[in-house]
Amino acid sequence: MSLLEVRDLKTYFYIGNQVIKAVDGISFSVERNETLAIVGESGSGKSVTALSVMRLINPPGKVIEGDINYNNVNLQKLSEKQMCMVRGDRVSMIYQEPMMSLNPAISVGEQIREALLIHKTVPKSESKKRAIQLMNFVSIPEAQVRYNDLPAKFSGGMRQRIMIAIAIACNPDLLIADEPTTALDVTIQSEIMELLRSMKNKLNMSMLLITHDLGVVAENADRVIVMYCGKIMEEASVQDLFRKPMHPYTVGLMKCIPRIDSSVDKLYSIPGYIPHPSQFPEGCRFNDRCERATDKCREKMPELIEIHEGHKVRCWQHHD
Amino acid sequence: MNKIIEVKDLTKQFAVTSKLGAKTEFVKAVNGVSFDVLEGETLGLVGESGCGKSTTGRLILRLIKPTSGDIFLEGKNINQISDKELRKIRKDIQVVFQNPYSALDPKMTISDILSEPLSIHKVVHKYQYEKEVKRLLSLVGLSEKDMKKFPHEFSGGQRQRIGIARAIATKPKFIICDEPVSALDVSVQSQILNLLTELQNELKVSYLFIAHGLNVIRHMSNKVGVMYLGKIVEIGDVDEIYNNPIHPYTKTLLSSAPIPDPFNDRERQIIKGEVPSPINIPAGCAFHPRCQHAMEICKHKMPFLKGSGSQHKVACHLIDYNEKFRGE
Amino acid sequence: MNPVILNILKRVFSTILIFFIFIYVTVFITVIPKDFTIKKVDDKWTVTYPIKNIVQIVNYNLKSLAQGEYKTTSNGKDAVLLIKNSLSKSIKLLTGGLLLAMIIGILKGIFDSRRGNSRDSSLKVLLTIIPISLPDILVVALLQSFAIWLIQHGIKIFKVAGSGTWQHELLPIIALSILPAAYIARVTAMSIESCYDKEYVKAAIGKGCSSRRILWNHVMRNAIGIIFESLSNITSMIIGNMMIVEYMFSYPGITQLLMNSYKSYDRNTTIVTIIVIGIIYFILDTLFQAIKHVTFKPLKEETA
Repeated sequence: MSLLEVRDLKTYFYIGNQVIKAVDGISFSVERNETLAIVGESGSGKSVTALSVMRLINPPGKVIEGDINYNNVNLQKLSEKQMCMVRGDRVSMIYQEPMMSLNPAISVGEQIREALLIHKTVPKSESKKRAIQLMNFVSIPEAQVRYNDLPAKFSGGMRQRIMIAIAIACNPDLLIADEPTTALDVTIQSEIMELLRSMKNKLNMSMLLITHDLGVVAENADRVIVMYCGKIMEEASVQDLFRKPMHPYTVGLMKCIPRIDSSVDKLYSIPGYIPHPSQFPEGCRFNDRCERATDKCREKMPELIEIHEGHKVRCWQHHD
Repeated sequence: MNKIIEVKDLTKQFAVTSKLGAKTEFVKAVNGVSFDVLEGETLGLVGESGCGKSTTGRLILRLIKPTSGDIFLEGKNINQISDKELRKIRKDIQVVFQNPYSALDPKMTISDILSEPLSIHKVVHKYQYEKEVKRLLSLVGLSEKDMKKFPHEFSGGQRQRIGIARAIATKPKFIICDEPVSALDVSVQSQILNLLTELQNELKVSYLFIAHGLNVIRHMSNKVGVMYLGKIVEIGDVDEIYNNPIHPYTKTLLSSAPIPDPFNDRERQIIKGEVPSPINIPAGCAFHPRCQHAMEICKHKMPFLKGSGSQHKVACHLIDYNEKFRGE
Repeated sequence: MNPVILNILKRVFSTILIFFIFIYVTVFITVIPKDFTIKKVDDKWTVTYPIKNIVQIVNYNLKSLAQGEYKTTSNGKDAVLLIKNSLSKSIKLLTGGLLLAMIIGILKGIFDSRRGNSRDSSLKVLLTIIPISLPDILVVALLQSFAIWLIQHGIKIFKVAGSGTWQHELLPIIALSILPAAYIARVTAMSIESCYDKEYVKAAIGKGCSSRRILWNHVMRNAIGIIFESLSNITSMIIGNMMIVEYMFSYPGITQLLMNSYKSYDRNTTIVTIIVIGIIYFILDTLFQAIKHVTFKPLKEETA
């Protein structure tokens, strides 16, 4: 039984008289102790997927249909109060902008302690000690002293560590990381990803890693899902995805990134632009940018089909 | 080949207001930067936040005034000139900004946005504006149907193309690209980078390419300068620096960047601690508190850029003290 | 010299300077004769009284004030005692009014705000905006009529006019607090709503915080700073209001004293009352600035 199983998730946004199909029918699962990466560009629906799992979608957005099963419990059917018990305790999330995600008026130690107190992980008398332990665990120097400091006194990398401390405070089974390193410098990025990897191992945690950076995916994920315009285009183990990418979008994405270890004169580029979420093309959503598009691609949306073991793709070119 | 831009010992200090409005502390955003850019060449400036690369760009543009140092445009010192002359030379130095969403005036049509530089610098006669705007649009891959539209009708990538069209409108000699693709999606980045390269070949313009993405810098630049806390710590030919980095910071930077290849097994250079605040730059070599190889001399003597091989300069005491270190 | 101390000295000096200019201008205004005007005589604009003369009178008055001539009123009564009494009454009114305004205002503001839900709260907000839109006098008059209606029906908590017991102060305090309360409610509601849009609220929900915890521990802590920052705007509102309230309730506060001494042409007492009211304004303003600095200090360090 998977730790997290998502089936046919659809999250739509109703803005004015437009319907934005941010997530339009996706299914995936996260096993225990595994890192699943969801990779995509803007408009792909990757962040909305994460927010939908946590039930953090507010109007004008709504989860229209779909099951989100955590340990066989349907999260959609829980009351708000029950959901509050799941959030932060069993399933935690860290966000892209660590400065924005910490309350600027409360000391960092208190914010870590809050997670412990809400979920009654340790008795109140022990909570401060445990919070300091957590700060040490994520390598924040002089934790005892810095417990009372406000977030503004920390650098970006340190703040992300504090967020991680808050997220793992109650030993969750699943950590959702939404672009955790995008706002950080590259040297700090590698430290934070290293920290997340070690947390995952020490705490036997699974991770749902949301990112647009294929480098981060290559170095951290076990399995990968590629999303485009609200749908999953390809799903595979990280080795298979990089060794034998099948979907033209995945292939294009990998080819167009400049490499740090070699140089070319002209970069490959995927023609056209990502369509506006209210104006997806008919048929396969990638057809207007795909070099191999046929008439069938322009008429009918292909299904997500498993071609090799563990490797699924949504493309008519591979459906024979 | 002649030098289009030459920068000598450029510094910029900002006063930090604290405690009841008094200006007590100073941030040395740029702390003695020197380099030159030849005709048709791209110099990449790479570094992490707080290193001063964006500030350097703004100083060359004269959007802010340097605290000290000189900037030469084709041999002419543009640091001490009058406002009137400054307006004239703005024709030759243009900029492409990072954020395509805020760089264009939302109330102006594309035609207005592109005609404005034409009229200010009298690039062509008034009656030729429309023709010239159409020409610029086609150069950047947009159609003339887009002339009467407003910026919000375009995607990020398209807006960046308009920003580039605006920059080349005055036929500049030098364009400062300040993180031009950082705010764009990956699939669009390569389009814009290709456009910039094409334009450089066609118009023989030089670029100062500022970015934090090491892979993008490698692709775009002929020469690259690595900045740390306001100083250039290593500068040279791009392939030389990427294949053979010498400064410990450069090595760390290169080894930290994630590579999209799960089979790549490379050695990671460890770096201690956090970037210090630019208000309290460490004495001696600014990098010494975080450097694995720090020696006694690094703590009080600041290293200067010295050539080790032609066109590859490093500011590090290690090359003096350990000849063997070169090439490691 | 230490730049911080220099800065403080600069501020103190400018405050003292402003104070002296204030006193000078006050005396100047009270000294201007009633028939002072600017007329056109022989194609030239002239003043009916030469400014030089007025300035002379001002200087003379200032000197006599400094020498302590304000101590008796024109009727021979002890001015200092009078001022002290009326001042203490006004201060009671002000503090009561301010405190009540803050309590009612903040609570109403919390009630008004959408608190993260998109439920329509326009109707609630309407109730808050109405007192701000009505003229102060109308609001006070309505309140008085309400109190009279209560008395007519046997509920005798409020005394409608005069002074002497705490019951006399109840209604004026309520009247004084209505307008600032409505203003504070608006500011509170808006700052709460702006906080709910922030990322850290979403992160707190992601932690598993209940909506009550979000409101009190996260949102209010940040909203309070914004509320206190806008408090300095109500200083002029509340002092102006006090004039109307004291007049309509015949409450013997300091603005009443001002009106009476003005009516009886008692120049010295008038000048001194104005100066005292000015000092109250200044103290209130400084108090709010200090509170703002204390509550806002943590947020200013964000630029580090």
